[in-house]
Amino acid sequence: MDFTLDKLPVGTKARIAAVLGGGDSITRLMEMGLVTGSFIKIERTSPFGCPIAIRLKGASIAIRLSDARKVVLEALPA
Amino acid sequence: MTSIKAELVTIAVAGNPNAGKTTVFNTLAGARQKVANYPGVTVERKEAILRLPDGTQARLIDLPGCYSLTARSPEEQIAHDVLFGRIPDCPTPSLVLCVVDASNLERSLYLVTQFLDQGIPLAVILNMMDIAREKGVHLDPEKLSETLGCPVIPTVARTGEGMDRVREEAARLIHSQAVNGRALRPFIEELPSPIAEAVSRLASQLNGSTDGGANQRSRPEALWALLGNLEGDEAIRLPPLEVRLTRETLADFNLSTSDLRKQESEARYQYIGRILQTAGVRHEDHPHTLTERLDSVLLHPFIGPALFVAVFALLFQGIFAWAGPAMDAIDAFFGWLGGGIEAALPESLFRDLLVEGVLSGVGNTVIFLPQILILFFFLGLLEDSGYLARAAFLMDRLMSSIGLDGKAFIPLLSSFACAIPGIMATRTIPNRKDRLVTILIAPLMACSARLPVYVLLIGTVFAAEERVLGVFNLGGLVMFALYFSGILGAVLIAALFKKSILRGPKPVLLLELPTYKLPSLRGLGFLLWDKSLQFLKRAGTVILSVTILLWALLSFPRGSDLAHSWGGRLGHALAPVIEPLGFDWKIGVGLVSSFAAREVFVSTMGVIYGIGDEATEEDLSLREAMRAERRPGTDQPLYTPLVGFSLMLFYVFACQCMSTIAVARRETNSWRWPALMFAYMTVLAWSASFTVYQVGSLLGFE
Repeated sequence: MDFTLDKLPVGTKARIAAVLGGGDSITRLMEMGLVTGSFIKIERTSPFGCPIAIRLKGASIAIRLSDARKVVLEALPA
Repeated sequence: MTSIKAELVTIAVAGNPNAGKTTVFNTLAGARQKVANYPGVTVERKEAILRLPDGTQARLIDLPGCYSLTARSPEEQIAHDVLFGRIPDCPTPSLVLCVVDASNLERSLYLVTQFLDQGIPLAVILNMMDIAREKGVHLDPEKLSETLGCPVIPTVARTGEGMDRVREEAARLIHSQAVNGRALRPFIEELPSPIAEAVSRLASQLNGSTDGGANQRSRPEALWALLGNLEGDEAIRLPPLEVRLTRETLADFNLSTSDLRKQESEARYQYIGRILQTAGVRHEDHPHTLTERLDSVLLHPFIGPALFVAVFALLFQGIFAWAGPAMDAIDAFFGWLGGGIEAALPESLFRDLLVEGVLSGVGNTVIFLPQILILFFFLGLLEDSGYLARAAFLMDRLMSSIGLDGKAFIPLLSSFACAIPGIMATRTIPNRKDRLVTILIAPLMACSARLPVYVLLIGTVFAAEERVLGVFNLGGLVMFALYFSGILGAVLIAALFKKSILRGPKPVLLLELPTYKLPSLRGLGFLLWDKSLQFLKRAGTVILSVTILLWALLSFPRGSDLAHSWGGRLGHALAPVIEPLGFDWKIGVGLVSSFAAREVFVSTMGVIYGIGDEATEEDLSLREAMRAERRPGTDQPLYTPLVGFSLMLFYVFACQCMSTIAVARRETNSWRWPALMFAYMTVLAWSASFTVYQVGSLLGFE
């Protein structure tokens, strides 16, 4: 069952299945490693709930919820 | 000078932000660096002469930090233009040293593979090896080197480890351009369909369109054109013919730039996966313990914001209060020097020019140094340690709700002490338009120079001690209203600019939360030295000229008193314009003279009312004299609460500060933006005072 990054519980690892949409924000995040097949984990959310800090390819990156909704994930086998 | 430089080979230092590029550059370059701007933009360009171990000299230039060369930001555009020799006075580099964060290898290889596409001689500086080991990265630099086909040098730039080998390799590489054999072909030759076909088509057309000769760089050039943005003011700079060919190719292959970029990123990361596999790199991604622990406190939902407020309260306290004694000392020093010159020289026009024009102009510039040094000291510490990124993370929601970048918070906060260091601190804002909006609204934050004006006027027209609702006193409430008006004005004006001339999407959040590390004092020293020198050189000349101009306005014709000087006459001439605000010509003179700095209003009033130019805002006799002033042609008092409030509101919004204009000129590299700043603020100030005074009078307020 696929779901989007904004629904991923903090601390759970998942794999990116697809990145939807275009736009500058998404294409730049893809250059930083937000691509299909990458493993991803939410490290924490900011006090206002947005942005969130994600772990991606060994780095921590901030991403807004509006972009997180465009990232489709697949759960990893438990 | 230029001819010697032109003969030197050029070595460029490139890398991701936070990869330690600046530390590598500082270690290689030493203290003798020159800082300038790249032409037409405010991206800093540092360069130095590098002496290599074999005695050759090379010109070392610092490329702006970027994640990619696709030219979406000014930094990437500059990095690309340097590589292609498109920057005047900056030949194509003979060697690129790409600084890579070893603990972040996969992501860093994105930029490395783009350099390899260009076929430029390259050495990879594998920095932060210590953190990489901690994070469980297993790699063999030799195997990585064989895979990529370029030298890979492990370093810890902070401690200097491996830097000697960098110098040796650089010396070797600029003499022998031969590229080692490599296990993988460069990505540009392995493009997936249909990008590969589109690139081939465009590359041959670009070749045909220029000199016709075979150009081995035309494939990366074509890929870059296809990925770049062709529209809007962040567009890549391409000749019209090439833009047309690129558009045609995109249309023929039915591709959009956005699709192409996504496909290219996916494919490049797959290629990077193959590099890592071939080189046998394993990455266990252990959490960085120190960073984990610090973040669990510093980004904690409750403790995080509290510490954030504490950190910035300290920074604000620093600029606002700790700079005070140093500024007083500078003031006293220039006063003493001026007194000495006045005593030593006979009274003459030359002496006045020297003391009141030149010397006070220099003083007016130097006086800002304590605030600039304190702000950038804190800012350097915060940035180097990694906390600044966390601050932007915490502030993004709030700042983006008014259409600004999370990093705009610090410049705006600093501007409550003084807009000069505030505007200088906007350099951290990546997007040009967001940065301009921040610069334009920074002077609306109530700076410390406005305080004396507020104190004098509140004391003159209000019963400041009077209690309101039991707990507040009237003076405090008025002060609050003034600060609040400035903030409200800034929010509204920011929204207005974002919807008109600086229209743009919500700022892209491109924020990495790097591992925490100890700041380098050496780097901090370079930063403070740079900032001070640049401020003195660039803004100082403008401040000095305007001070001399203002001196001339207020002291010619010779022998006249202030009221009959050119400045005084200007005040008289202003009278009809400012009368609807409730002001008289004397206030007009105050407005003219306080263009030097807002607090000069107080001493000007002192001179006008015969108290002398030593008058302070607490001076009771000055307040008495002002209360006794009558509205011209009537026996009504001029300084009613309504007029006082109208005047203070004028100071809230008006750009009564030549130094702000000077520093905005320097930071935007044009007179257009400071001119706009002065114009909109003056119109805003006049309208606000007009509305308050006219509506207030109609409603029967005094």
